[in-house]
Amino acid sequence: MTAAWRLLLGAGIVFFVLLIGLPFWWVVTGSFKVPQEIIARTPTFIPRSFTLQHYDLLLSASAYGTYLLNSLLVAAASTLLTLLLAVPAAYAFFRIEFRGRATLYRLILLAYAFPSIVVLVPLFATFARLGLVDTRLALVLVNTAFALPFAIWMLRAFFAQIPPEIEEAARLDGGPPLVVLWRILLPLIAPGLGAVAIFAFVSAWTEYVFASVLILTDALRTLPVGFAGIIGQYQVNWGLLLAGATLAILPVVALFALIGRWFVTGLTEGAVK
Amino acid sequence: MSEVRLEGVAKSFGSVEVIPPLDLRVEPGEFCVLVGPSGCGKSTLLRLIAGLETPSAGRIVIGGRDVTHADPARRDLAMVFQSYALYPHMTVAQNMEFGLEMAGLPKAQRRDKVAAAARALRLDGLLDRKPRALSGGQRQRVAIGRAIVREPRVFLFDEPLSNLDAELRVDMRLELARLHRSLEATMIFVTHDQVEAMTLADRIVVLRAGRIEQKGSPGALYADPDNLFVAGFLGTPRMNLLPARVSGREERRALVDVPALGLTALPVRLREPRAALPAEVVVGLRPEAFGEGPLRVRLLPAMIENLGASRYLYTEGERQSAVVAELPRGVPALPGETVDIPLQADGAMLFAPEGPRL
Repeated sequence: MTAAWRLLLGAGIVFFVLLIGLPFWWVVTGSFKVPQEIIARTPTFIPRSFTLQHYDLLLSASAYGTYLLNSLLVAAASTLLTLLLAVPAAYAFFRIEFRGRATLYRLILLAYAFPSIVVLVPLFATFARLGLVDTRLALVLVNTAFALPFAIWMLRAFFAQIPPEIEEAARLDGGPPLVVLWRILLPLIAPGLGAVAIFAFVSAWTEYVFASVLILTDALRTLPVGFAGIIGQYQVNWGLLLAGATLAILPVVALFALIGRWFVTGLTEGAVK
Repeated sequence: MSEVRLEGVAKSFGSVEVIPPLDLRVEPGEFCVLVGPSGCGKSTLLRLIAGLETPSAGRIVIGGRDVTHADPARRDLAMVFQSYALYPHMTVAQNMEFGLEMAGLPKAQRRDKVAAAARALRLDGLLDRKPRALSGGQRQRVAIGRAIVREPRVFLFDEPLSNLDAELRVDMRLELARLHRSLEATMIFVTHDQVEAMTLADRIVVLRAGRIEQKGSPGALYADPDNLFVAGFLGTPRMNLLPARVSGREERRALVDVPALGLTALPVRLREPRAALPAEVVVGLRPEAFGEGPLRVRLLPAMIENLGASRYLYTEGERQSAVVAELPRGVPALPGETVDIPLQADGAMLFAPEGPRL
């Protein structure tokens, strides 16, 4: 690699880090500034003041804590349910040969052909009949339904990367299918499980449309919807907004930190050859 | 030790028939090598025995029990894969233990068996390593260890040595032979390498296009092949298969002219003394037939291959028509200079051009 090429690559990395990182920096540092500094005519890159007043106000005077908890519950349950359903489905699509497998496999991706707004009304009607409107379970079901096709699709690709002999060896070793899946195959697709978990969590965490329609009681609202309410009530309180946004980032960052180490490449290295 | 018996076993994938109905009996305790060129169906046959494929027809009997539709785990056999197929996220010990755990053995017993197998395969210090921290030869031994801890009655090997370098392959060959002696288990070994077949087998089964061309001891197949395919497949360098013309016959022999060697009325023993002879035939002569004997032939070497212990002379031409001869010690030979070498043609064989031995 030539020096010029290295420089170019380095510059590229710096550019993208700044592009992605700067808004976060702005939000996080802003949440600790006093109101005057936030709205100062000349913005300050490095904060000159430090205050926790926005956080204090957010947690004491609003239902932010409730929204956060609701969001955590809904996102975690959606993630778990997605994984629980996607793993056997993906394994079945990968392992079991049945009539119409290829067609069905393509069909599940069709779920993404419709904008969520199109299914909103029929879904509301359905949930109303099932008595699920205004429950967190409704959100879990909707989030899972939308995350599943992609999750199945992705996990199947991960399953397909496992050399077939490994599974055959485990079968010859006397492992029942579920034991082989749990003990041998799942550890080998850990990066895929991690990716799917993060995808499911983040899409549930940020979901707005369904949460705003299916939930009626304030105490059941999730963060995006509840938070939107806080901002608009009387005037835009920038400090409150930034503090809320900062807190909303935390669980996602924590999840990445937790699952990130699953993304190790070369997990199957040493298995064959 | 178990007998393995295939009765009319056939396998088709869709409309493609990979193995036409085939019968094979592997004796208890036998080291049976299935050998053939790639695509001959030998691996499929092994997978049928293992239960990883279901036969389209026929019966598979192991140890007197019909296992045609039995689960792979219920066949009392272990398989070593070409790619080793170790569980990459488990340590060496866990890899070997998994099968025992599935069999419901208590922890202490599993430990003992793994330790014993590790000692036998010189894996003692490596039990806590993951496969990726092992060399190719070590991975191979772990794969074998995983098979032997379960003490199966039948071992299946699918080209287990083909990913090793030449030196390691010889070591593992000896190790496998030793293992077979000490375990006294039935072993079925698939390879495309005829040297492995010759050195390891009690009995070789030569396969082509899913059919058994010939089966027998390595010595018998080498000395007495049934057809051109087997004759050409076993032995390195390959047997010379030279076009010839029948000029007469006497008692149990045919007299043939072999233009490539400049020989006329060469007597070649017939398998069936009364068989009808076509005019055009193929004469088979092993390279080691040259070197001493009553006949003399003049050959023009295009290339001399010196292996140290022996030297081989190759004449000009395609691999099919060139003559390969082992040069006797002390006979000087240079490419491009005709040499006069003796020939012992007693072991020559005659084949019909379509393949069968005459």
